[in-house]
Amino acid sequence: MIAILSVLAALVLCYLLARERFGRATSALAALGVFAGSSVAWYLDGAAEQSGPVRLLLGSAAAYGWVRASRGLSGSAVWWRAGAGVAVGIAATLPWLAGTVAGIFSFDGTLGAGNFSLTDVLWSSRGGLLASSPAIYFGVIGLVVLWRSDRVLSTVGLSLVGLTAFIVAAHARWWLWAWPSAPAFLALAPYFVCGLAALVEASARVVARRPLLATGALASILVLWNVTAVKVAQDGNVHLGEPVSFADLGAAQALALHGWIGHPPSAPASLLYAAANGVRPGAYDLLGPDRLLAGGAASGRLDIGTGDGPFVGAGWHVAEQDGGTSFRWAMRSAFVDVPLDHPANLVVEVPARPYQPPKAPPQQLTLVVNGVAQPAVTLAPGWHPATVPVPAAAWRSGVNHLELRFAYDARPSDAGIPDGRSLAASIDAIVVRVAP
Amino acid sequence: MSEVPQPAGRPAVPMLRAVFSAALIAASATSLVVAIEMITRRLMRWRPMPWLPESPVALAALPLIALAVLLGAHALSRTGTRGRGRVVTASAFAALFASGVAVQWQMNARLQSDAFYYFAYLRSIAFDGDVDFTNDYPLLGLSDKAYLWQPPTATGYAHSAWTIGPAIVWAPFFGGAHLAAGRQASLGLPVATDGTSYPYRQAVCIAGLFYALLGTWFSMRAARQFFPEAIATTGAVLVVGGSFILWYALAEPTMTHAPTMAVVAAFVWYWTATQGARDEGSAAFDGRCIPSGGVAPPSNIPDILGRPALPAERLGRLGATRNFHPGLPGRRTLVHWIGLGALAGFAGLVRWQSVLFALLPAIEALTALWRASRARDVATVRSTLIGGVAFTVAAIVAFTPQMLAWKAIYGHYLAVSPVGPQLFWAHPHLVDVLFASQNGLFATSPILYVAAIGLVLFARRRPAVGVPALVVVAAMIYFNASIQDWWGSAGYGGRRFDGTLPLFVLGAAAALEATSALLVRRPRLVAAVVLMAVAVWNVTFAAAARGGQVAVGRSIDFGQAGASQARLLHGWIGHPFSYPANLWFAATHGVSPAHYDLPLTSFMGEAIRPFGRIDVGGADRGFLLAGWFTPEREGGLSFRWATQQAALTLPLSFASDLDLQIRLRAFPMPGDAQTVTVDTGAGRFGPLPVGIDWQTTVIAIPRAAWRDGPNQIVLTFSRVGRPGGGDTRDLSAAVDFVRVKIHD
Repeated sequence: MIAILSVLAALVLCYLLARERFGRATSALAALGVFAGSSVAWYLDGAAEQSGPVRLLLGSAAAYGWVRASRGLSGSAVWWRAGAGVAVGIAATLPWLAGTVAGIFSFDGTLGAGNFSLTDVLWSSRGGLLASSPAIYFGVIGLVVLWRSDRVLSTVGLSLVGLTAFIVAAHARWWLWAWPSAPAFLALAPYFVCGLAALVEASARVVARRPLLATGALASILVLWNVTAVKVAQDGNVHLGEPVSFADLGAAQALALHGWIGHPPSAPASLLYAAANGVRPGAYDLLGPDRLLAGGAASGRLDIGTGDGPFVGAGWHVAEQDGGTSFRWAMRSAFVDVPLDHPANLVVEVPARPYQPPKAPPQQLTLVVNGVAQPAVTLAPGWHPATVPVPAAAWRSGVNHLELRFAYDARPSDAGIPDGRSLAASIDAIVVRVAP
Repeated sequence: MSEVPQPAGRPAVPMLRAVFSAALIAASATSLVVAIEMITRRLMRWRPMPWLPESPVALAALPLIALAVLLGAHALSRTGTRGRGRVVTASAFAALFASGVAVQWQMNARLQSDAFYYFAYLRSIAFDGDVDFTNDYPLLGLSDKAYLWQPPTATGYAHSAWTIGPAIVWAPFFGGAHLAAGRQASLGLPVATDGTSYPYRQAVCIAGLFYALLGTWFSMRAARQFFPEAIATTGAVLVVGGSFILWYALAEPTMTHAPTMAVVAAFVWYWTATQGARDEGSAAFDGRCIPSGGVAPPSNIPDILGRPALPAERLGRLGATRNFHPGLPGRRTLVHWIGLGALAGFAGLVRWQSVLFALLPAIEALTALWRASRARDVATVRSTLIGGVAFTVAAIVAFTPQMLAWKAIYGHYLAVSPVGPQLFWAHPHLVDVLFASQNGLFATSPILYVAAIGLVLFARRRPAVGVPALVVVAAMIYFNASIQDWWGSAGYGGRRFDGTLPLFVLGAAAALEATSALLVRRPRLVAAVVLMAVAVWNVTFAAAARGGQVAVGRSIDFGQAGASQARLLHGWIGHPFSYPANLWFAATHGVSPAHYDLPLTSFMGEAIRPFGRIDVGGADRGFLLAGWFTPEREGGLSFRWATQQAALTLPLSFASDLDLQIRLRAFPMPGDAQTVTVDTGAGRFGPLPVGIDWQTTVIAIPRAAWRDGPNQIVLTFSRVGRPGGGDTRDLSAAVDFVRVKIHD
């Protein structure tokens, strides 16, 4: 109940704040837009992180307070109050409810300023602010638009967003508390509301000038619906002429669209990532935040056979289980994408079990990293890790294309076993460690 | 080229004109190069320009990118000349054609489905000089359709329920393909020159794309009679891009739908272009029309036209404002009536049901006769009657090729093939044909829902055109709803509505105009709609996270999350473009609107399918309720284990005496034999014994125990057992399928 009351009170304050600059309709639209279209809505049932509604309320009160106090003033008086607003806003973003001064500067006691990534905090699928709250994306764009008409409010809002993003990013494993995004940003909701209101006003002006453009853009969503439906039908995911569940069709359309353009609120990070790594924008969702060695980690592991869909390429059979071990059989040449935070001298361990037909020589594995073959290693029978040292020069920041090239593969059916697949070795994982 | 005054604040800059010229040259060259490359690849399996990308996707993108640059340059440097507008339009269509040829290749477009039967006309006439398809069907790979020629018709020919028109419109492309095949054969390549090999088949694919674009162009021209160019063009793009015709232009272009759209669009354009403005009356033009001289009505949207299409001084002489644009010529002449009749007859030649479009001028003529008779205007009565006779004679003449073909095949000039679908005039599926998930027109082409609303608006504003258009669309709905396979068999969307698309373009344009006018008054509506969409995204995202479909606290695949969100939203509100049918269904049966998608059209909804089947373990989503475990496989068999009570929904179009068939086997366990009892809510049947081997249990259930719509069935088993070995499931029986059929 307290959470709901806090959120509602903050909503009223945000509306009043927007009313200081905008009309009723615009202010109401912006306030409701930010609250319903962002992580704020997640707090209405009290299930999310508990300090969120209080941060939201304090941030809203602080913002409304300094703007209200600045009414009728000009010059340095306004900027002083704005400065106070920034200070209070920052205070509201910090997790002071944790009860310790140290907690102000550290969520988990580890300050990881050397590894911070503003990109992740804003756009990653693991708690990225803008990726998980499209309304806030609009709000941030609106804060830039607002600069033309209200430089003080725009400057304060953008400064707070920047500072908060920096503080959040400076903490190792910041995402542990960030679902759907870092709660620190909740205190900035009033500024997002003002930004969104500015964007609503600006868009209304454009719409009034180019109504056909706006209408066409809205209607083009129905064209997009049809184009994705054609794609789904072409792929055979619906059977032409039969009744179709529009739930299934919609899900397939969502996947098709994501396969083409990725998650729009993750742009431009996803687009730049795709261009830099030669992958689709949608691959950023998992390859971006799940990159190995991120956050100062000295090792990383890709579990083959469990949730490895985004990473494995050609040359693999379906996932299997061997007791508690998940794995896949690899063919003679199997490909895997390994996302790395940064290049380093690494030791690659590949827990593998070769398929060795009778009278066949021992299996050999050559690791090809981004097209550069490393020295071959011989695989012992049974599950054993194959260890390959790979120098930093072979790696790149981002997606690394690895090929597991084996000396041979064979069909168990040739040895009388009812399995016609071509098998070289079963692989449990790809593990990288920073070389000592 | 007539110069139109420059809009204020947009001076033409010579450098920008040069940029436009360069962009125009680049776009034209790109389209030409890509079109040549792709056509040669498809007809001759040869790459004349190997330096071009091999990927059809990349090739398809090139003309579109060049077109985007051209449109950008046009927007920056527009001078308002009408000649330039035509050049840009031509470039756009050239780019779409070149890109489409590449996309067809990517989508593996080929001769398929009913197209073989239309193609048989072409091959037989071209190579055999007859319409006896007894040899053509096997040549085209239809040897398994022996019922088409055994027994033969009264004249000894093979049957054909299909039209000759597509063969006529494909003929030029077929001729080109023959040259290509001959060239390859002369080079010693194994390419048959008898009309059956891939050059011929690929050529008719390209023809399909050509006619789809031609239909689009005619539709734009027709809409241009009533709307500004920007609105007419946008309306046509939306309808073509947002409807089933996109599929039949790119994926299955050899079907007759694209040529049908083209011919009917030409007919609609000609009908609107030759319709006298005098009948509209000044009131229909908001009191601002030009009674003579042919000027169509203005837009309601200030400045939406951007620039007048006529020089200001000419507009001034005509007494018009700058928002008018040129359009209609004077009254329809005898030649116009003959032209209209020829087009109507040819439309019927391409697709039988297109003769319904003759209702457009027929309604107009009847209205004119009624008015003239009331006014005792003998001259108008006479001219209208003469026009009607001329129309009819021309239509019959144009339809003659089909009658000659019928005469040869069936011995009569008018014939009904016994292999064609039946029509059930008394039992039309009016709701299904529009809203069902099984190719319902509006449900599967949502833009046409909007266009239909727009068509109503259009009819209010322009009754002389809009009302006949509505009548024809209604007639087409009734006709298609009455066909035996009202869903269009294995087609994409409401394909049999192909001829109505030009009318829907008018509707889409009207909807665009009305919405644009609304947005001028309420510009924040766009922001409200966008923010509502964002809020829906957020709420479904949160619900997916709470429901466990989206992993909390980890990186996620937004594609998978989006799929979960789509399912959730659908579960809440159903498919919006099946409204109001699914809402009515939900209210009637006390279920979610989402249930409308599968049930209503699934079981016994068609006269030719008096049964229904749930493949348990396969496509059982939406049918199973509580009490089932995850799907399993046993050899080629899919099934699920049921626990002691397992429920499912059986959707029935109507209640009847039914046999309920359940294929199942009991979980083996010592002790008493397993039994199953079936509860339909209105009756309880059993217990019946269930053995440990697969068996089909049949239960005759009287009509009184069923109801129309969803029926919740509960299977209650007498015993449960656990497999052991860590498997703690309580299993009663494995179920392969549940089927209902009308009791014999």
